[in-house]
Amino acid sequence: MTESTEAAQLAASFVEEARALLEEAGEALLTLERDPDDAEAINALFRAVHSIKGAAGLFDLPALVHLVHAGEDLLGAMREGRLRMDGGAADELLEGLDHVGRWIEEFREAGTLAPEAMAIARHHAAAYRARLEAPGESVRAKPVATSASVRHAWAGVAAIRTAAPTGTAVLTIEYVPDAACFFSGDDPVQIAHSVPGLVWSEIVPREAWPAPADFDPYVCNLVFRLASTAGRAAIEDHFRYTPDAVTIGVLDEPVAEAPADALPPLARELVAAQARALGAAGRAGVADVAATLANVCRSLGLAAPAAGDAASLGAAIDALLGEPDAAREETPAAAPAAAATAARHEAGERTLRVEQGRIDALMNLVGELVVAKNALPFLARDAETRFGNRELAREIKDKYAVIDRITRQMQGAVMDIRMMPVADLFKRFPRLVRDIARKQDKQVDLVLEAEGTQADKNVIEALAEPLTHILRNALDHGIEGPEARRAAGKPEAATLRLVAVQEGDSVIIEVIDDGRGVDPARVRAKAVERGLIDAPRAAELTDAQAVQLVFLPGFSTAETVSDLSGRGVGMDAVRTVVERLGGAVTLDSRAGEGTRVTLKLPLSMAVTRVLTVDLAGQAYGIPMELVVETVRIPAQAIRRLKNAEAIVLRDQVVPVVRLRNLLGMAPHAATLEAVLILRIGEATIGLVIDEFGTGMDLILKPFAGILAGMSGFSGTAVLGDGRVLLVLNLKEML
Amino acid sequence: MAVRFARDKAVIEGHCTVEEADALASFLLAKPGRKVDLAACTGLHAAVLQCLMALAPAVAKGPQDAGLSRWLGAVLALPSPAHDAQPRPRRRKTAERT
Repeated sequence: MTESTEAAQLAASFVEEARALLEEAGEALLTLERDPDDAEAINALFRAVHSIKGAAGLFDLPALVHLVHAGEDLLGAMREGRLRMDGGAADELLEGLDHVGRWIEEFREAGTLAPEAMAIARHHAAAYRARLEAPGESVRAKPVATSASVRHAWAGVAAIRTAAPTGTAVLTIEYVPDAACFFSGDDPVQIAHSVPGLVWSEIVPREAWPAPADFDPYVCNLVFRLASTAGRAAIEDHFRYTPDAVTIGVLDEPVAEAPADALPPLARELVAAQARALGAAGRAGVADVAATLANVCRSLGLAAPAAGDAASLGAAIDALLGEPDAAREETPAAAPAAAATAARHEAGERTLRVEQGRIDALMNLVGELVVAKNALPFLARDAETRFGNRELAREIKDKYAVIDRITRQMQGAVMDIRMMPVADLFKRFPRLVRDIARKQDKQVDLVLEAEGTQADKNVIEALAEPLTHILRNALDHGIEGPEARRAAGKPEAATLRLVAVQEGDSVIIEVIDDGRGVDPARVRAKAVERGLIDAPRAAELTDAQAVQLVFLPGFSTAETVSDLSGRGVGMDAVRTVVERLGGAVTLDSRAGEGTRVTLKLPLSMAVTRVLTVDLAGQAYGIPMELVVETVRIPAQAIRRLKNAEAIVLRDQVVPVVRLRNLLGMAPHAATLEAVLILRIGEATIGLVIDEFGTGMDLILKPFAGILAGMSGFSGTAVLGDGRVLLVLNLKEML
Repeated sequence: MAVRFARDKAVIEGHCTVEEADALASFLLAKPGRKVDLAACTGLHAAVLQCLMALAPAVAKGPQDAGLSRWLGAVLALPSPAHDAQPRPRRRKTAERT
């Protein structure tokens, strides 16, 4: 049980590590594509790919390892300057990384890969190898297909026959490790000597050794000639990570005779391993050792030792080995594995991974604390008014100030935990931009400017999709092809900037391109054609207002993407998401010069600052970020224009709306109307209410259950005195 | 460190890993006639093996490890009672058996 949990944990940490490495690799690859001489990027890429391979080696993922291995060879050549990165190679490598990414997920879900993975891996590996060999530098002899008819010239060696047990079919294996195999962590000696059923081996140089001065220990110049009694399948499986480095042939003529007193090397190894196992501390039983020994003896045609206790087995082993002290040192195979584990430990960061649910629970508790804390001022008021104890009231207020300060700090600390760098979000876009740009033959430099800007994890996660939409739009419609750009006197490569800055309690994300901009005339025409606005009204709009029409739902649908050369694909979807997060989106465009889409979002969604308003004795909350100012205006100053009302505020006409009307309440007459001036998107609106309340921080709880579908409200919050405050969703209502 | 460098001899102990190959090669190249001592060696990485094959230093002591001695003896000239040093290393040789 513990073993399987351990394995599961190992697999989970592998998946996580591999994801991070893949991301790193993708990033480095893109950097490298822009600047093929970036030594740091190629090293980072090589390292990432190498680490993936190393980590994957712990699991049975031959397809993955095969593919990564081939990629690593290619990268190794690039690192040494034998090859240069170009768009084609980057495409192939990115595609490979995509496969690896998919396989990692597949492995995470199913614990294994689909059988067709190996075919995909072979296909890509072949493509990489083709690149590797294209520059004319034949690194190694081309392997012949591993068909049964292969006969190795050296296979006549009589020694093979004498080494193999009588009557067994012997396969000859020629293993020519890749010249750069040391860089991928392979030890061909180790691989060759662990071939199943190995009965004979020989190591010769591939080419004559160079003069000592020219000798490079890290270029593998070895050929391993092996003979095995294991089946072809077992051998192919053994070399599954380097299938094209081996050829398997047949040694016909079964061996004449084998001396009974000798153990073939592999059997010797096996028996010696049993001796070590027997000597290992804390062994519970010996049944497994006995079984292995019996199997070895049976396959060698020897009499099996009687199963007994540890001592008798030890004696049997010694008899088989013909020497009392079999090597008890660590086997060579164990060393690399141990090194790999050590490396994994070192890589551990000084961070704590916590489930998001726990942080959310903490956040909720802090929220409760805020609510409980908010009750204290009420208590102070009661102490003063109902019990006439001013001193106690002042004491309570003092204590409230302390608790308030601590609560705020705590809230800040919890929110900090949820903060994520916006740069993490941006990481995924270079790839997207590159792929689209390549597809459309456009040249685009994506510039990411996030510095240390952070935002709540939920905000970051929810933004991925809208930003993808915006970037796509910029690439599809905003940025012109190189010829058009040249004609317009702009540099051929367009610049697409993705900027994140913090501004007070908001994070502002801008997507700025230097493309052709949005054509207001076309947007107007399109909006009228779609029946979103009537022609006279469209004509009245300024250009700046007209481009905002792209945010209207129904402005663009999938089938119009190709014929509309302005912006608009899914911009209403963008707006919906951003507004659900409590943010706002604006678009600013200059014809011929480019477009800027600005997303303004709250840093954290956890705490909402609201202004309470009084309406027929009931308190309602209005998000503070919408409120520009509060004014009191004589009732007669509200002018009626047809069916709309408006006020003139500092020489500006501001349309007003009565909240009582919106909520379907009876009208309320007052000589001095309380009006909230709100800014919703680009528009300024006055909202007539009964009375202003106070500003407060709330933990807003969205509606759940049967109230979930209720429109007009964004949620509820509990006030300090126990009342429930409904928070209005004015963006939806107005 | 699995390799100790004495004045004219490299003493390889335990499993000699790929990282050691470069140092060993430079040591052997620096002055002709330097030897290697494999007595306490239990395993060689292929890169290290290459150094021994290509630069063919005299082997002062063969490995005591039986498994290693067996296959290494087929590749290098090992000083052991059974076979005296051969003039050329890496001669094809039959696998030794017990």
